[in-house]
Amino acid sequence: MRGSRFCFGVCATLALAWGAIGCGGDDEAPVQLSFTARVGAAPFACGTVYPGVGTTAANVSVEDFRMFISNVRTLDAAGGEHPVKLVADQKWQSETVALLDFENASGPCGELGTPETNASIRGMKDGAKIAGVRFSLGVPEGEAHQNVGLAKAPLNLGSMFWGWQAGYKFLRVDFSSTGDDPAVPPTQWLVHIGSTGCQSAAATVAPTTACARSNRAEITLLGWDPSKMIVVDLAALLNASNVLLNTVATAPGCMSDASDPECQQVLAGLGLDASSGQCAGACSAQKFFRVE
Amino acid sequence: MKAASLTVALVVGSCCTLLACGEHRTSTFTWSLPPGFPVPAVPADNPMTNEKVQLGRRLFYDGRLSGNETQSCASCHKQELAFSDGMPAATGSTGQMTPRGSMALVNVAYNGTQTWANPALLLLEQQIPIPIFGERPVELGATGNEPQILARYMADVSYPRQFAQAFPDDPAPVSFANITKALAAFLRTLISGNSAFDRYTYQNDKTAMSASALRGLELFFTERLECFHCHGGFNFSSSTTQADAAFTERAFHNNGLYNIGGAGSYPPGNRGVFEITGVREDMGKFRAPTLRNIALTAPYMHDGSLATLDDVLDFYAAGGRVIESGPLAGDGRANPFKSRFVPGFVLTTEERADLMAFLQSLTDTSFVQNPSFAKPL
Repeated sequence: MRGSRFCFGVCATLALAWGAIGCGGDDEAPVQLSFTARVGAAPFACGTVYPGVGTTAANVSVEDFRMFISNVRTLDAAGGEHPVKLVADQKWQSETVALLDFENASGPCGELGTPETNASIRGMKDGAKIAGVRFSLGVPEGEAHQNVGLAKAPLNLGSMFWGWQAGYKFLRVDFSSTGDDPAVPPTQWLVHIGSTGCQSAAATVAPTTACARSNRAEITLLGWDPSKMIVVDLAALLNASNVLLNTVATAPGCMSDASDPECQQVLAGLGLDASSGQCAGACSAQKFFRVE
Repeated sequence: MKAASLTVALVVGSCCTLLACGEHRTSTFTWSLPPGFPVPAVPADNPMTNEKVQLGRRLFYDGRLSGNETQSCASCHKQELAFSDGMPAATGSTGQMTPRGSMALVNVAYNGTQTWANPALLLLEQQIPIPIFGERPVELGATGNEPQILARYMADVSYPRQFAQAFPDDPAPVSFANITKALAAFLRTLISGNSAFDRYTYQNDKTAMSASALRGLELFFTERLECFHCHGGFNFSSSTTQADAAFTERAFHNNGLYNIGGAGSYPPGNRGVFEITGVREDMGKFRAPTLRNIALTAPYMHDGSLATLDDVLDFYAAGGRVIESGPLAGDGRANPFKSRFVPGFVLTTEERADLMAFLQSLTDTSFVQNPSFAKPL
């Protein structure tokens, strides 16, 4: 009894001391990035068939829709970057990386999906007035190639993991497409974006040097503030793609292979240069994210 | 100063824990996990103890658990076959056939769901009563024989003490609830992580895998073969959980084994998750089992309808199975509910040998020979 009261007193004192040290200034405040997934103008849901997608106006049914976001920064009016410290919650985000998950494992999302969903990122910001936001679509290099079984949440998620060598899928959107002819079976498209050209002794050995093509899109959204929604639009990403076509002997859709014809438009839609895996002109041509 | 306060707090904390526990009646259980393996999830109402594990091990091998005392769990889960039984489907204690094969008991502590195809069976504690009590089909056949079965344990010279030691807070410890808990505790210790692949990947033994097996490993992880989408992660299964799991990964897949009448159907009574949910899209969906020790667990698929690993490679290369005639006729490759990860592929003779060498490298001899998992003396 006396022991536990003593415990409580010590812990409370330590907590107060820790709080004072941890805050790092008076101007730190919570900030939330809210996202919403759409296919064109329509809200995204597993099981809905969306018409008019891509260059052939295909009908698309989505089977997976998840992505990792890291290196979140708010932008001030002068374009200065102010890092957002993510609040680790042992599920959706660590201090460094957050998972956005728009699928809920229902209907066609059931094969690999999870019932849980998440459409926001929570962090702490400094006192600067917000005039925009910038973040990286991907897992930081230092965390991208590890044992998924021992990784901390949200990176302990097998369905977003390729393997030690290639690391995590930064973006995963699986879907099937049909045209107007019901006799033609659906075309399977898998958009799995991650690093490529990763060198190591085997698929289950992590590389010790950076992968040749990072494929981490740097997304800048000017005019964003926490009152505004960040729209993630699959139809906009696929606007220049023919999703009824898969080049023979390449992955279905785009699995980040710079030599796959289907990857040219998809990577461009993320603002990336396919051959280098780097942003083409600050990734400013990306079509996937917009502010509303 | 602060450090000193913290030390005091920790010491006091430890004292509190000791006092709260009262006398130590069960020993502390320590996982002996292979390198690279996470701590398995254990339900709060059935914590691991050595006493429970040892009781569960004894029960697992003891025929007294079946109504007619002819079968034990081990009758269909043999250690030398990675706790499978080598049969396409199992025969219960009264001679009835199960519709599906006995699953290997390899790393079941990490299964996102148990058995072949039931999204609601999350825990071993939920699964174990099925072979004990099930009536359609009868497996161990305990139903209707419950008092007699418990009486066998109570009349034994050492079981009552063993139950009491495993469940010290239970005034009537010889019960089916405790039998289930003890069996679950034992099954959670059946962890395999010392194959040639593990020694190469996690134990830094770069000589453990042959050049051929390493080429097979590369093939396994390509988007051309797509194996790893359903057999990924440390346990080579898309249905995997662990103590600190943040998400519910309980995948099920239709791999194109059947397509009766072209409408996607599987044989009645064996239609996968559809049997549970009644949802059309769940037709033919089964859990992807771990590939660890897969070379020991023939025949393959839920109904044992593929005899060898060679047959399995042919099957996935074809992107499904065509059955030309008879009541099961249909082109499984065109099953409308087939997984998007079974498109088919072409292998050269050498690639095929490499892939086979990789699958063989997942055999863990120390697991099938581990005396801690064998019948107690």
